[in-house]
Amino acid sequence: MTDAATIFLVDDDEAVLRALRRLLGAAGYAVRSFRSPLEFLAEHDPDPPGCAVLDLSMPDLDGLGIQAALSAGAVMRPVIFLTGAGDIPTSVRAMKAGAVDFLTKPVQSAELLAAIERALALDREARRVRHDVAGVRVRLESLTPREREVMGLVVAGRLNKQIAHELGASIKTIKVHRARVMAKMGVRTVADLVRAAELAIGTLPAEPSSHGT
Amino acid sequence: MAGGAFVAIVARVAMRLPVLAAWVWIGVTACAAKSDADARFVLLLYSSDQTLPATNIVGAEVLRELGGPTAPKIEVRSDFLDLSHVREPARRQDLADFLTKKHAETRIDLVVALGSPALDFIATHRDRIAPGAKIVFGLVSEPDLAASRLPKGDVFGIVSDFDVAKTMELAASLQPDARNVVVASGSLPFERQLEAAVREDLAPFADRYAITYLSDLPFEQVLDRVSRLPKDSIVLALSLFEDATGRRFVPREAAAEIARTASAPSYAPFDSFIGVGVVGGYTDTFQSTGVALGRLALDILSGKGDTVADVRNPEHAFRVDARQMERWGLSEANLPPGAIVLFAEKTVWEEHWQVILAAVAVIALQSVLLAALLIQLARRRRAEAARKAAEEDAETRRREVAHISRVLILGELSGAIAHELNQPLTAILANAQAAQMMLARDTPDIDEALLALEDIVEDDNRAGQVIQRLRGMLKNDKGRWELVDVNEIVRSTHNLVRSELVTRRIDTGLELDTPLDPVRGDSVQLQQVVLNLVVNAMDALAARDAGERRLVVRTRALEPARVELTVTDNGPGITAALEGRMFQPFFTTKPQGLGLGLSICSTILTTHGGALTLAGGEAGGAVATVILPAAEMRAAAE
Repeated sequence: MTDAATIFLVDDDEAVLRALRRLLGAAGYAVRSFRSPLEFLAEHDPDPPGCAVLDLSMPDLDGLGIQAALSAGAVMRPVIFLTGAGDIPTSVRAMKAGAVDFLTKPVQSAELLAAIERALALDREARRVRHDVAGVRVRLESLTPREREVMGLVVAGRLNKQIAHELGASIKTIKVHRARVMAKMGVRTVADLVRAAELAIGTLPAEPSSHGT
Repeated sequence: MAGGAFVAIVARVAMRLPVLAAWVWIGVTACAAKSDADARFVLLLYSSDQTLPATNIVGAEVLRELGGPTAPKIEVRSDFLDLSHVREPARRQDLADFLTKKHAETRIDLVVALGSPALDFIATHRDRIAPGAKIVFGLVSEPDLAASRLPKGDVFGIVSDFDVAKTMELAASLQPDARNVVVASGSLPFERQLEAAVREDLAPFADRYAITYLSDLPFEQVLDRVSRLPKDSIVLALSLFEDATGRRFVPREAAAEIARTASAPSYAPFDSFIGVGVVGGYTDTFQSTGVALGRLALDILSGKGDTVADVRNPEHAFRVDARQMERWGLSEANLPPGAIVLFAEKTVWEEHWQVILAAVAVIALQSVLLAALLIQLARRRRAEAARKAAEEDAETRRREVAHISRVLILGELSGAIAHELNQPLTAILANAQAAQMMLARDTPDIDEALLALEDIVEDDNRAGQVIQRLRGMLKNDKGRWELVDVNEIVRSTHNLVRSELVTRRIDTGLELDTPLDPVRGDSVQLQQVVLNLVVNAMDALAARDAGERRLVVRTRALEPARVELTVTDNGPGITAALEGRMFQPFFTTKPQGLGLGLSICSTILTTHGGALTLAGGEAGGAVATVILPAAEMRAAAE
């Protein structure tokens, strides 16, 4: 039960929607419910933390369609699917596409709430990571181009002497750059720097790869 | 003329009171003095034993009159004297002694004597048996009365006379050509006297008829003689108590035997003989004699002996037996005026036998004709029944096939149907567990829990309806004919397949015309038709891309009084190769299809007086059109 977490409910069946909203509300979640997937996508605010509980078979756009639409956006919203008929190919597809869980109607509240808790944990983790990435990016942007080059080679595991040779600079100069990079990136060990770099690469894959190795 | 009363039976019954009144004046006054007591006693004396119909009838009528409501309290003692068997004067004395003792305690006011033997007997022994009693007599003939030695003054009576001459007149007028007359009578002394009287009476006829008397013959010979008479003969049957050999008879039975055996018509002057075989006679009835005698007795008892009027019995007449007239071929036209025809009611057949025969023949002919027609009808009915049985058989099979087809189509839709059930179950479970949580809190949210419970009830009803719809579609019974709202059928069908439509990503529209006249039919079968058409359209739409699949169900009221339902899809439509084959049983384009859907739909609609057509849509795709007569129009047509 996360204070700020919002559950986005989508089901075309009014009765089911009302009942689930009531259940999740009683469980202490903030709930936003939508009868149509298109309505949900139009109004979806990716900012608040939380997860989506989607009926798999709905007119206009089914749960998998929503999932795809959500994945295409900037924010990955953890998704739990509810389905009347648990047919295996569909569930496999849903899980591959990153669904947190795939629950069969009628769903036991304990099961649903557990799945929601898992989804929220994932959401929190993702948001934390995203938060870290954002920090790393700010730090990265404070680096001079030369410092970014040095950092790339450090993260790649080069020694100062190799870096100096590669960049055509003195070892002493490289050491100064390296100390500045460590300071600007707010890390004290090379290992920390590597993790920060990985975060940055994970969200901004284009930039480091443009330098090649 | 002892015993004459037995034959002095009918004919002229005359009240001889004007004559007798003078005789009895003293006696009446004498008796009147004694008649103060409350109860009056009457002694009824029969000359015969109990077997003689004539005296029994008269006696019964006398008793009835004496017991009537207007009469004073009268007690009657009856004695059957059987005097024809008590002839010796000494024995008669014994009988008188016996009766004297028998009635010693009773003061008899009046003696009624039936027949001249009884009258003679009481006249002789009155002083001992019934001292001071007056005497009334009946069934005594005029000659007998004249011959008796009656005391004057207190004896009254009705003198019977039989009239052989009048009876002979009757015979002569009925048989104008007859020339022979045979007279049968008994051999008792009084019967011989009777015969002598008859000879006198018939004297005027002697020149026209040869008259033979058979009183000297044994009864067998009498029968033999009458049986060999020419047909134009006349038999006169008189009293026959005893034949020449001394054999005894009941006169009526003897007369009946003679009439039966005779080869010519018989006649008799006695009422009791008419009806047993004789043609007729000039008679009175014993009944009227008895009534007159009873009234006379009452008058005497009440002291009116000197004022009693001379009464003529109105029932004195020619009487004939219609059956015997018919038997001998005698014409009623020859009857004397005023003759009474008895037993005529039984002669309908005899009178109208030709008509009856003709009628019977006609009826028989008609019966034969009817029988023939009935047999033909029965055969036709049998054939009809066989045809009907075959039709019912076919109907049963059609129903079974329709049922199987329904089951199959529902099987195909089982996922969708499960979904329809799952939705309310999901809602119910969620609502119930939400309510549990709300109530388990430190401050239970009762209002919201109540709302949850309300929703549970609603969801449960919804699930129940799904099951009901399913049960209706799955059961295989004869169904019910009722008024059906086609729009309701469409909605209900749509509910059943909604989630299937969603799963198959088919955009569905319902365009229902309201108000719509109801149709008359089996709602399950009609729903089967709509379901079949919708599923067909769904299958056809599989050929199109997911975003473009469109299915529309439309209803519309048509003039006059019909309802149209169309199922339109934008699938590939109907190719020329399909045209005309789609309604054939077992023709299918689907890999898992049975090929019965459309032919079953068509059959169902035909039994509802409707029709199904399939055509290409205007913008591609296919349109299935169902036309059903509205209920009112059907009712008017039936």
